[in-house]
Amino acid sequence: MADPGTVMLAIDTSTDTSSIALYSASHLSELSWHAGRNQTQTLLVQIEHLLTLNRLTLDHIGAVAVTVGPGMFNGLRVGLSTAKGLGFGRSIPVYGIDTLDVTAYPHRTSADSIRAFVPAGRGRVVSGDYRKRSGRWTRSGDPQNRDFSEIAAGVGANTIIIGEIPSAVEPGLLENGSELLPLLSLRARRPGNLAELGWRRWQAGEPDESATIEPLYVHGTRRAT
Amino acid sequence: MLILGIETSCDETSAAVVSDGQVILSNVIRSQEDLHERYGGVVPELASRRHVTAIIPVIDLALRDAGVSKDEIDAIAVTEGPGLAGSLLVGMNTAKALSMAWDVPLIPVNHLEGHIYSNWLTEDQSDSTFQPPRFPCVCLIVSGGHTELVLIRDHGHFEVLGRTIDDAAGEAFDKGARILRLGFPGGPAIQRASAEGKMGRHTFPRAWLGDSYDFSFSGLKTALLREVEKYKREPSRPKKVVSTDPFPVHEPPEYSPNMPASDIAADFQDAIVDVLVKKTERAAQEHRASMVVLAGGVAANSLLRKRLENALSVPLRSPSLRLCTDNGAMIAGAGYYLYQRGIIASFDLDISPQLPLVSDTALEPS
Ligand SMILES: [Zn+2]
Repeated sequence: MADPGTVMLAIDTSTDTSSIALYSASHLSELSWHAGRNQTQTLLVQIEHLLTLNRLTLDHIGAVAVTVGPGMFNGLRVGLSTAKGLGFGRSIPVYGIDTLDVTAYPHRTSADSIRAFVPAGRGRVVSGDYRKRSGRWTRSGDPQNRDFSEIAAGVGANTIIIGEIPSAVEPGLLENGSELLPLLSLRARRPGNLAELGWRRWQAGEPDESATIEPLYVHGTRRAT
Repeated sequence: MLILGIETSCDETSAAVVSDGQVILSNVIRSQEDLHERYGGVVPELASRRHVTAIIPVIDLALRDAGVSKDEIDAIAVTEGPGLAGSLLVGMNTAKALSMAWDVPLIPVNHLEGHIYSNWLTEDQSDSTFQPPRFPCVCLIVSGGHTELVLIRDHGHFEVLGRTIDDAAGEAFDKGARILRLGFPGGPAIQRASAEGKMGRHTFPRAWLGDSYDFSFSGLKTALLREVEKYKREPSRPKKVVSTDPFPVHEPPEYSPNMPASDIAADFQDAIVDVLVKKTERAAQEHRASMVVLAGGVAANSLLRKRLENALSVPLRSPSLRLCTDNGAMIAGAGYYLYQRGIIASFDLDISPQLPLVSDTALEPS
């Protein structure tokens, strides 16, 4: 399928749903599973599994993309430690990608505004608002740490709400006609999107970040840990 | 056999290269003391964050210091537990990724077993007189997180004779130093103050707990609080109204300037050391130990070393001061003997924050 050093490995352990992808110029292979707190136990096993399924070995991996957050702090550390270990161990570049950017990425061609969510644990979510500005897709403002109940606070008409949202909150959002809430398969974060964001940076020859990347810790206004 | 040892269970990020479980080729320890000082103790979330940024530079330096390249490493040993979950998982996931990247075995090491094996290490490559400890031996592990008295009959054969039922000895030192405003970490701070103080003016309780080898230090802390109560006074400056720090900053109490902090520290230290020495001595006698070995951060305490040496009728062995703190070399050292016994892990290995010290081998019938 590929020559040595030409495939990108993507790792996303930002939340309870872990996912990985292998991405090359012509192929995409994705795997996601509910890892919960078993990220340390399952991540490397699944990476090996996905490589085997695709008849690839570690030699084919030429770069790693990893989500840096926002998300669950310990989950982010699992992904980053693994990505850094692989990057350092194989002497290949690592690229850190914002988890909210990954979430919003598939909707970048939409004319509507986007509010992307990532669960942050303990009844909290982190959100980022995206919109088209003079034809360019940009995030407005810093990510916000919110309570679940404030998920739709301040969103205007025709705002698409995407990301992993707890099912208890969904009915309220659907009743409220001003927002658009796509079905789960259309709004869940996908590792292929992460891989593609990383791939672009790799192909553009951006420098390796393995020595410097650290998780993006977004605290709430109240004390959070 | 060259083993890379990785240790991130608490607030030191460390990596080391050790040859055949004995000779330390490198041992890089990045301490976080500066980070936690203002909180008066280790803040787990902050410790985990520092590990993420420190881990790769520390491993890189450990390989450079040892003068070995990545492909010369034969195995990776990593702390599985006990320790802080967020900290442990940084070392564990990095170690697993390196094990996959280099296609070498991954050896899971109990942190306490690591401390024990700091006594099997030497930093001097040319020392031909170096002898590893002899079995059976009694090991006193004393650190910020642990106080355990262990009987070791052979490699991999551990019998925990006693452990603390509340605070660890190092924790007692930390809390004591915090109460007396002597700084962090508490062990060295109390020892420094004690050196200037006079002993015997304050009485602190010793929890003997009957014939048990268990320890208890929480009553000592309560007694200390009672002792300093009479010197307490209202803060001279108004309390800060708002703190932007997401973690609670330690606000030390204020005392009258004539509080004899050094004298109190000396008696407080004496009370801790007294119990540690007597129980260790009794355990060594009862189990006919051929020697006693010390391990853990509190093993650096010079009063403890001196008193033990005087009390014991068998030789005492203590690691160098550098090997008393948490370090990667002790993990690589213990990892070597685990590997000899065929203990290696698969990629589904998880961290184990509450991991107890248990034997992995049965004794040969004698
Ligand atoms: Zn320790």
